[in-house]
Amino acid sequence: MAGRELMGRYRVGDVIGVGSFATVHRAVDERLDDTVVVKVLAENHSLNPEIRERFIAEGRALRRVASPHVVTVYDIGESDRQQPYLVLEHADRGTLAERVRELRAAGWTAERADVLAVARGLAAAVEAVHAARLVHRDLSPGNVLLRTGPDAPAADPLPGGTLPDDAPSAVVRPDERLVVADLGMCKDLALSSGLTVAGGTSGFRPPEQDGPGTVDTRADLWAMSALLAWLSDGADLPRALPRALRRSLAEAPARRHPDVAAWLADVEAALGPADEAPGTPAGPAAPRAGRRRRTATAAVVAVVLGAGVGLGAGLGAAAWLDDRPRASAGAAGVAISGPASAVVGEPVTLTAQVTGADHWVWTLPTGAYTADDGSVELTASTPGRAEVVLEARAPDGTALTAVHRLDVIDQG
Amino acid sequence: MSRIGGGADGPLGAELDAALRSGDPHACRRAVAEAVATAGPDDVLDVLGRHAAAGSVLGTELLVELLDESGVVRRFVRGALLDESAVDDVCQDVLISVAGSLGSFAGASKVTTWVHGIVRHRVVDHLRRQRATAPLPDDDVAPGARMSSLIATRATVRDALAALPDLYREPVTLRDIEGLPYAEVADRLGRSLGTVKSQVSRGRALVAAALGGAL
Repeated sequence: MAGRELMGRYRVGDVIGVGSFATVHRAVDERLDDTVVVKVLAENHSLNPEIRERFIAEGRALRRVASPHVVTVYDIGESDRQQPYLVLEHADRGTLAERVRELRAAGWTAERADVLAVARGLAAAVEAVHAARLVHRDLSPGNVLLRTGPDAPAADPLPGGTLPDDAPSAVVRPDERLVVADLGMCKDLALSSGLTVAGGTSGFRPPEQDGPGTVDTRADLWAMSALLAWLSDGADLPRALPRALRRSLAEAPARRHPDVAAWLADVEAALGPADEAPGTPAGPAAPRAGRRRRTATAAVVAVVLGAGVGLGAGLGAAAWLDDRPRASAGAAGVAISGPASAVVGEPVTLTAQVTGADHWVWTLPTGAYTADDGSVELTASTPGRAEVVLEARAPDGTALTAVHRLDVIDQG
Repeated sequence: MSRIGGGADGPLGAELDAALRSGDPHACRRAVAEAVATAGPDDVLDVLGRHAAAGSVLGTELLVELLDESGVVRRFVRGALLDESAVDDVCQDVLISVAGSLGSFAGASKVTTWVHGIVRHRVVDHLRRQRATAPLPDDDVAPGARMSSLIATRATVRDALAALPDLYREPVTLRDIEGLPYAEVADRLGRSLGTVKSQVSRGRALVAAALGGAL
């Protein structure tokens, strides 16, 4: 790395990130001979006392959090130009956003192990943040980092970590550790004062953070759910997962999980014990085996549908999980026709009735997606109740959802 | 809004009010100490702020003392500045600004809120001075430095200095009129360096208060 400028004892190198108010550089600590990250408050904001106070307060607050899953603050200083800077742990494996982008480009969708690895790392990080009486306020895929050095089991007591060891995750690899970066203290101020335009993380901000008022620890639970929803977009996962995530995506904080431990317990329970293979029907009805091969293609369509034009995937995921679905908007609408009951072992056909939208996505009881099929055929394997969901997007962007419930009875 | 001893008219608040009206410095300091120990500095600052804004010299003295002693000003300054000597300088600038602009303190707001606003202005002044590479024009010096040179050169200011309590007059005279370094002032008065710095800082603020907004 060609060092350019010395800031204190740190030789500042390449820019690895530019935020709305600060620039993040890779740097070398010349005394300890180690790579670090130096985050410098922008020159124009350094003379704004309010932003300056928040920037410094964020460094001091982060320093109080003791967790291998929260970025470590090594030092704080001021440049010759009176710009405060934070010296932070270097996450050498990039961001969660980058990792998932690469994996998706190769046709990957999330497995149980991926969701669990991210959920547990996030939970450990956010629990430590909350224990320091802080709210993170800016959890998003670009703000969750990966670095070399797996968890030391003793130093990392995971809430509810009682499940046996799982298959390795492609997202957080066995030699890696998930690390949560910057608190959102400065960004909140920048957004609420109109100093900058909202960045790409708006889909991960809970509704109460968009206006004035108090934000508590449950704001982070909203963002954690949105993050897992984004991660599992298009994946073949138990239908119980979106149900678990939906609770903390409630607009009213009082309806969310009470704390991180409860959130993680729900997520782990939704993903089931380790010996249950992913894709095993969570409900009583199962689609024919041939259906599942279509999932990868369908997932791409689901992402496009969900994301809309120019919006982040996070918004799409949030729409997917919206707990107040609408079946119509203006002239556009979706409906499912078909029998209300089915017999175990006998196929049932459901038909899509879509007006005013060119594309639609079925969500099957297994959690699998299939796009643009005029009808789907399901064969239930056990008696009980099953749900099939049909989603589309109206020309005005409204998410349209129809839910069809099937009572599955035993042939006797 | 004061909550001292259960409300603005509570026993400790009323005692402090009465002591300030009587003009007895010892009774006032005792009442301040008791109220701070019970309710923390915020509410006490509000009571003192009302008296100081109404023109009470004793109220001003106690307000400047408590703002300095309780660490309220320092805490605000340290929120925005990292360098310790910069923090010292700006704390002094803030005390002078506070004392010199008590007339603009609207009793309706909290003293701490008002002081935080002043801190932010002085912090920005400091940062601009540090950033400027050209030699400073005469009017672009910190309140502390300006106060010091005023005390050394102007007769009216020296009258204000003469009216200060001994505790503050002696160190300010030695520092700003005789031009001694802090260490030597401390030596001569048999006080610690920190005490002397703090007394010079408060003394300059009280001179500024005596001169009102005339600076």
